[in-house]
Amino acid sequence: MDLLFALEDSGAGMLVSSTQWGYAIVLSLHAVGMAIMVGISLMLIFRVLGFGQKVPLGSLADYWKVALLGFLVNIASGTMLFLGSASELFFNWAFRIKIALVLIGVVLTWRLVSYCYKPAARSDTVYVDASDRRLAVAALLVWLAALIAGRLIGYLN
Amino acid sequence: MYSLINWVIETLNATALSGFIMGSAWVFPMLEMLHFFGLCLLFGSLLIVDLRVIGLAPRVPVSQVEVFVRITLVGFAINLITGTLFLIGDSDRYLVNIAFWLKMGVIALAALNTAWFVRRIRPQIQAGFEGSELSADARFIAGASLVFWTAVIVLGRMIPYVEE
Repeated sequence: MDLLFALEDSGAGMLVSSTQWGYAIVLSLHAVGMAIMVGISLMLIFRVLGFGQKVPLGSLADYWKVALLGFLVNIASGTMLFLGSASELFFNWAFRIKIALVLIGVVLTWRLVSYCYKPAARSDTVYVDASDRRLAVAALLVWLAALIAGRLIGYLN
Repeated sequence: MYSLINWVIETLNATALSGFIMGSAWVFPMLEMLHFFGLCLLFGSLLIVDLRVIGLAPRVPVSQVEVFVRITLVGFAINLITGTLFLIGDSDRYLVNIAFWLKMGVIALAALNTAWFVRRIRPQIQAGFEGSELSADARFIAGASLVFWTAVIVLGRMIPYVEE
């Protein structure tokens, strides 16, 4: 508990909790990062599930780098938001569940990208099988659950 | 102007739909979750199309990634519906909020930008033009689209923090 209070007293924590625009600006960055990370992940998932079949899978691999850029933005902005109210968020169940879901979502989407997109850097004709589709559905459900849990954080505070 | 806004607010507040949206603890948060999902569909699919026009992922023909615009339209439809429901439910919050009106203004700019894309660039894409063959304003329009929608996200997030 002392540690959580110390985190709140850190420079970044105070910037988020005690300046006029700190919280709103970091929260906005977090929303933009989410739109990039989850948005592109959803598109890569939809392609594996059969949307836009004419688009060669491997040719979309570059977009995963953009998604990771969004993820970096959200690790940074999310850490700052946590520092701003560490002593409340740490005990917020929606927060804990969301963090777990985001990590699972990143791992599942990363696996999907390495199974379906990376090999196609050599050939564009990659066969999507049933296990790839199951992985895509799992990633989709985890991202939806993460969005729901994230939105609930504010309501459980 | 203010009397008009007040009349709209009073009229909306008197509707049964407004009461339904604000009257329970779960309707508004559920609409918010849908609004965030629609946002991810809209922005994610635009990233695919706009970044391709700008020059990312050069091995995909532009004419093929254009199919992702359908997802943009689905995302926009979800957010138009959920956004309208926010407005009907809590109009006294939004109609007097500067970030809300700026957000609506930038959405209008984004719509004009899209109309420009449909008139100027889309015919070139459908004629089979690739990346560098597209006219010079193609990259500008694609970049402007991402800038406008990023601004829409930021302004939307700002709504609660510019209240008086």
